[in-house]
Amino acid sequence: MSKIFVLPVLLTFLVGFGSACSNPQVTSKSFTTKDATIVSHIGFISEITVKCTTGVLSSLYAELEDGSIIPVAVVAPETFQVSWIEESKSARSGQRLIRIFDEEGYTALRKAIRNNEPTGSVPEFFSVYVHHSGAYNGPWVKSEFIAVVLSILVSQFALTTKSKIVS
Amino acid sequence: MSKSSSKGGFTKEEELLLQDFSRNVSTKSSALFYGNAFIVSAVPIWLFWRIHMMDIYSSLILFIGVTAASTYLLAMAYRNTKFTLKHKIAIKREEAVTRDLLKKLSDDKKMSKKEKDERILWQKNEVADFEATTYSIFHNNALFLTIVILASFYFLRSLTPAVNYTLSIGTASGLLALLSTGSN
Amino acid sequence: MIKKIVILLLATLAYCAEEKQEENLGARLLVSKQILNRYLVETKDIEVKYSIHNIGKAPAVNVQLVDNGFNTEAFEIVGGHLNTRFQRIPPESNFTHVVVVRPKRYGYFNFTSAEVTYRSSDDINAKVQVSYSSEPGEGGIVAFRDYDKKFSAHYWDWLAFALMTSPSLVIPLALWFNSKNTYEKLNKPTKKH
Repeated sequence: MSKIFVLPVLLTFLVGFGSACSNPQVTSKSFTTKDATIVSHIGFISEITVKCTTGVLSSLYAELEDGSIIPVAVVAPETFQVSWIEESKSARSGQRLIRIFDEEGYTALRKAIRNNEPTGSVPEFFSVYVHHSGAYNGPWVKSEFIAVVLSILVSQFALTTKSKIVS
Repeated sequence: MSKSSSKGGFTKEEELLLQDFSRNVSTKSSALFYGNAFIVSAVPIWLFWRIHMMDIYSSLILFIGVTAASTYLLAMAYRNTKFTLKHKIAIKREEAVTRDLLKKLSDDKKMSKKEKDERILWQKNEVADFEATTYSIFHNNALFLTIVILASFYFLRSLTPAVNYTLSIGTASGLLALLSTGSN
Repeated sequence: MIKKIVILLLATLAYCAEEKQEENLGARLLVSKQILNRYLVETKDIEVKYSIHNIGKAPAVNVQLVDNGFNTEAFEIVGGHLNTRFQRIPPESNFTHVVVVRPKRYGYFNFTSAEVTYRSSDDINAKVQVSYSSEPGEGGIVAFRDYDKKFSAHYWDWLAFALMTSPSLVIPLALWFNSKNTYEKLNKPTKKH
């Protein structure tokens, strides 16, 4: 008698644990370094919260704009972090796209790479934007530059006037 | 034939001429030169205190010493530049001064022509002196400040503030003193 | 007797070899912790970069990266998290983890290592490894006042300087200019163009 129940229970059990997350509700916060005068690189950090309506979330992987595929850090239940650094000089302001893949997607990615296919062909689980508003690199025009320019102009004027007197 | 004045061997005319050609200046001029030179030599201390972070109390002796040397050199530059300019200005002003004074003294019939000429010469000297003095001060101040700013913020930037101060002020005033003697 | 000793020796060697083999095949994580700042300034961001390399041939599973070196009374975390977990790090790969903190005080601070704990392969029975990241060492956090004095633009100081030097420039120029103009005007009536 119990055997009749075991199979459906087992199946439900397996289905419950086996099914991947569907309809993920994603919120993200991004952080980037704003003052570039004291650091050599700009840090980009994205904190992502994912809520699954059904299913369980597998381990996640992120594909960054430069093509590297990295594991996503778990910092709290349902909260993840993706982070990287870029050189201050080459870090342009604007949006950075991060594509997140679950375990299935990751396998598909690896297969695409092995077959030399572009990774863009693999659909992501979801994507997140990190916004960088630009970093402060120091005052736009150095005050001593203005001082030098002004003083040179005055000296120039003085010298030309003198030559006019002397002529 | 010049009559000798009651004082000594020279007439007023000759005295004026001598004064023209000597590099000596009157005490009033001297005071003006030294006063200006001191102010302009002292003002850069503000920059070194605020921007190069020099401590005033510990560098006080250095500040006093360098300011004194710079005052002397800058006053020398003022004197020499003035001397160079005075003649050129005098030549240019001769016509204008003559006309101006003749107009003013035309009603005065008592004055002899000679006296009028002396007055004109004296006035021309005064005007040329005044213009040469003021222009010399302006010219040397402008160049001094430019050299100090360029030296301390660009060329000597990596040196310690004390060395930076000494070299930038010293070079500026020394260079000006040197150049003023050389120009024709 | 000798036979027994030889057998025992061979058995030990075989066991050691097997252990070594397992070790060689397992995951091995190297973590380097770096401070990316040129200057460490009180109340300004300090970027901490953790570079994690898996040089082993198996994936590292359930990796916990814990950094207790920034206590909350001296540092404020502004970006990222100091305690993280990575479900699975593939073999022969590397990536970075970034955390940004802000010191609340100035002075000397010793940046210590972070600790990383992981299972050396997918196998449930695999060994749990504990290793430490590299240590950035001691750094001096500069007081904000000193940093500001050194690096600010000094616009007001230059303005004050300009105000102080203008009398020395403007007054002599004005006097000369006035005199020059007066006498040049007197010259004009005779000039015929």
